[in-house]
Amino acid sequence: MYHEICKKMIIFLLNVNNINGDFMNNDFLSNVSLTTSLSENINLFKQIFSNDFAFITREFQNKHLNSVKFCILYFKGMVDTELLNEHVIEPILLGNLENFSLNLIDELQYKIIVSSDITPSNDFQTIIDSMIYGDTILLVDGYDEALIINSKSWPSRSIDEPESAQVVRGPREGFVESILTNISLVRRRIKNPNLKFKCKELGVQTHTKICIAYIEGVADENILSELEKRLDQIEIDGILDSGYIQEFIKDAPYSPFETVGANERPDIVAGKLLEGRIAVFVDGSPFVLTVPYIMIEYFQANEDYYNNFLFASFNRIIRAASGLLSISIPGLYLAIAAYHQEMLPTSLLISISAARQNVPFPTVVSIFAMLTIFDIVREVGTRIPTPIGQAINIVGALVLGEAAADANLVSAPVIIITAFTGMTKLLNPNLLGAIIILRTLLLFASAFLGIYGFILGYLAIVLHMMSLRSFGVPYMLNTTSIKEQTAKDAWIRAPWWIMSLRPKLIGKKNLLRQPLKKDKRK
Amino acid sequence: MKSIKVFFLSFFLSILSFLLVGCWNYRELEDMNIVAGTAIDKGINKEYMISMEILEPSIGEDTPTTSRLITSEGDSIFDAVRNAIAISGQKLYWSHNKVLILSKEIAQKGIIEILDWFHRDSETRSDVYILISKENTAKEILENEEKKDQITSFNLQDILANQKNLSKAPDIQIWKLTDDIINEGITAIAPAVKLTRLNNKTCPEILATAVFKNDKLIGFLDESETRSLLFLRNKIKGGLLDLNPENQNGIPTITLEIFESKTKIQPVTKGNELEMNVNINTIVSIAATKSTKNFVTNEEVIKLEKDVSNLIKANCKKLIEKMQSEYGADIFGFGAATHRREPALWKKIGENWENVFENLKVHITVKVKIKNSAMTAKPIEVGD
Repeated sequence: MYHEICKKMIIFLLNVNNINGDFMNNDFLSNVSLTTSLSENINLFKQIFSNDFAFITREFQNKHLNSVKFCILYFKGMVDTELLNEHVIEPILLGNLENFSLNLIDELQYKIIVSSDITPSNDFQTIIDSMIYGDTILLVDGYDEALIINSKSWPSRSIDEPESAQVVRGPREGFVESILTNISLVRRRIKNPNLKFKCKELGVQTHTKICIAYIEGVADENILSELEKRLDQIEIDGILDSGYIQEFIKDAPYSPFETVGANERPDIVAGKLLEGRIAVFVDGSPFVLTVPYIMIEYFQANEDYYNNFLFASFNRIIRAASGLLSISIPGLYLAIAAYHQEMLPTSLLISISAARQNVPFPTVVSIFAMLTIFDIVREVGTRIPTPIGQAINIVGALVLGEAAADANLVSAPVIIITAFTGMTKLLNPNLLGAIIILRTLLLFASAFLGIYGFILGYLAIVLHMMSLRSFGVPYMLNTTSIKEQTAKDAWIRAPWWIMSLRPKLIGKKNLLRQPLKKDKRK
Repeated sequence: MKSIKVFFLSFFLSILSFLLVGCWNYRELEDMNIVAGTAIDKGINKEYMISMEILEPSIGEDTPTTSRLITSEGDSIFDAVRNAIAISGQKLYWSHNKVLILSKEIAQKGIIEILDWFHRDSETRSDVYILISKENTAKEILENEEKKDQITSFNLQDILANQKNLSKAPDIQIWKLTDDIINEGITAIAPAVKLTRLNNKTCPEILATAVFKNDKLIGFLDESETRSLLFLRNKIKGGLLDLNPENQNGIPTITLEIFESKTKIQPVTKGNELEMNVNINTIVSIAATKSTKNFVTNEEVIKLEKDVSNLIKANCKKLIEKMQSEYGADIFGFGAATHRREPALWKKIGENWENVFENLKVHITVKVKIKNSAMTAKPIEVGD
C-alpha cells in the first residue's frame, strides 16, 4: 500500500506518464558477424570504435609466411603492451609458420602464442565485450574466428587500510576498485574449493561485472536463489558502485535501516561468508555487499573477534548504547524539559532554567537548529579538501559551542545535548542515516506529545524493525534471545570456544562451526 | 490518482490536528515560577495567608541561585495560590515544592483542606515535608536571615533528610501525615520548627514534635520525648544516647551512638484485658566518654547495657503515660498494631479505642547490645 503510494507520488510529481526511448541500443552488434576478409573485419571494428583514439589496430606478417596477414586490436591503456610485444607479436613474427599442420588459428593458439588465457571465438558480442575489458583480439586473414588473448592490465590503487573502518588489532588490507583483486583477497582467506564465485554483468551501458560469492554447503540456497532473482530484475544503464545494487535489492526500500550490508574489509567478508552469508562483489567498488544483513551487524566490528572477548563485549555494548542514546537524547531531553519538569532533579531544573533565561527560541527550535548545524559541519568536514576542512571545523566548533551560548542564542544544555548526540552518532557510522531520521522523528514526537510522543515514536520504530526481514531472515534476529547459542554473538561476543554454531536461519544448512565438545579448551 | 489525494489529505489532516487544536501543553522552563517551599498562616483579611518561596535561578560562581518570598491571601488554599499570580505575574510551578510549613493556629483549626489540596492538585507532590511552626508564624520561618543567599526550603529539607543521624524530630511527609490521620488506631505527628538565633540572626531549627488528634494540633513534645516516640514508632536509625553511669553531678559522662534499632509491638490478651508488649532491640557503640574509666571490660559493658536499657525503658514509659493521661492520643500506633494482629478484637474495641488506650497496660522490654567502642579500646588516661 505504502509502496504503491510512493510509486504513484513519484510519477505524479515528475509528471511523466510515458517514458519512451531506446533502452537496449545494442541491437546492431547481434546482427553482425566476422567475415573471412581481414580488411573487412578491421573496417568493421573501426566503424564500431569510431572517434576512439585509444583503439589500436596493428597489422603484421610472419617472416616465413607472406600470404597471411595478422592483426591485433586492443585499447591503449587497458593492456600490457610488453606482454603483447614479447609473447604475441614476436612469436608470430619470427616463428616458422610455413608448414603449419593444423588450422592456422589452432596452430597459433596451441603452438605459437605464449599466453596463459587464450580463447578462440566467433561471437562478435563476446569479442567486443572482452576487448573492452582489456583483452587483445587477434584476427587472422582468411578466418572468421578471432583469438581473445588475456592481456588485461590497467593502473589500480594499491591495497591499503580502508579509511572508513580502521582497526587497532586485525588485518589491515582493504578492498580496492578491481573486482579480481577483491576476489583474490577473499579467496586467500578461504582456501576451499567450495567457495564459489558466480559472475554476471549488470548495467546495459556499463557492463559492470558483479560476482556472487558463497560457500557451497554453508550458504542457504533459498537465500542464494532469492538474491539471484533480485539481481536479475535490475535493469539500469549503469552500475558505478555497489550502492546501486544495495538499494535495488533491499527488502524494505523506504526504510531508513539497511537490510544489505556493505563493507570494505576482506576479513569481514570472509567472516560473513563463513557464517553462511552471501557476498556480492561489484567491479569498480571497494565496498562488498553481504546478505542477509540483520540489525545486530550494525554493532559488530571485525575487531570484536580478534580482541579479548570481555573487552570486545564491552565495546559492543558501548556501540549499541551509543546508537540508542543518539536517537533518544534530543527527544528525551525535550520531552522532560518542556513537558515533565517534575521528572528533573531540582538542582538540574534550576540550572536548566537559569541557562534558558533570555534565550529567544523555544527548546525544540534550538535543538533542531543545533543538530542541523552539527550535521552541516560534519558534511562539510567529509566533503571538502582536508586543509580547508580543518579551518571550517574550527569555525563550526566555535559557532556551535562558545559563541552561540555566549550570545544567548541557545542554552548551554542544548549544546551539551548536541555534542553528545553528535559524538554517539559518529560511533556507528553505518547507522548514521537511520539515526538522523529517527532522532528527528522522536524529537518532533516529543515536541508534540511529551514523553507519550517519545514512547509512541519508540514503539513505532521497534514495530518497524520487528517487521523487517532481510532475505527472509528476521531483522531483529538474536537480539531478544537469552539462549547461549543465539545470544553468543548478539549484544556480547562470547569466547570463541563457545561459538560452536553458526547463526540460525542464516547458516542453517550446516550449523556446526566446530565440533561440539564439553570443554573445548582441553 | 485517488490514492495520492487520500495520502495528502490524511497527511495534512494529521499535521493540522497537532498544530490547530491548541491542546499544546508545551511549556518552557524559564516561563515558570518554581515554588521551593510554602508557609501557610492565618490570613489578616481572608481565611488563609500563603507565603511561597520562589526560586530565581541563575548559574555561575558569582551569581548563586536566590529566592524571593511572595505572599497572598484567599478564602481557600487554591484561591490564595491563584491570587499569587497577581503578584508574581507567572503561574506557579509546584512540582518541586519541598516543604510545607503550617502555623500553630492553622494546625489547631484543622488541616484537612490543606492536605486535600496537596493531594488533589496534579502538580503538587505528596512527598512534601511537613513542618509545624511552634512559636513563630510560618512565614517568618521562610524568612531566613542567617542564610540570605540560600534557599531556606532546601535548607529545611536537608535538615529533615539528615534527621536519621540525630533522631530529635520525626521526618514526616504529607502522605504519611495523611495516612496517620486516615488510619484507625494511630494519630498523626509532625516535626516542629522554631526560630533560633545564630550569629545574631534568626534561622530555623527543627527539633521536637507536634502531636495531632484527628486533623487538629493538640500539643508538642520536647526533644527527649521525641526520641522515645521514635523508639516506639520503630523509626530510630541513628542518634546519640547520653548516659551518666558514675552519677557525677548529673552531667552525662558517656555517649553512645545508635547503629540499629528495631521495635516490635505485640498486642496480647490476658483474659478480657488487652495489653501491649513492646520489644526494643538496639545496637549501640561507645562514641565518647568524659571519664578515664575503662568501660570496655566485660562487667562494665554488661552494666552499661543494662543502664541504657533502663534509661530507654523509663523514658518510653514516661511518654506513654503522658500521652495516656494528657492527650489521649495514640501516636505510637498501638491501635493499629491491634488492628493488624487481632482484627476480631479490634472490631469490638476499635470504636472505643480512645478509652481503651487511656487504660492500656504496656510492657516494655529493652535489649541493648554494645557492639564496639569505635576506634579506641581504652580511655585516655592522664599521665603525670
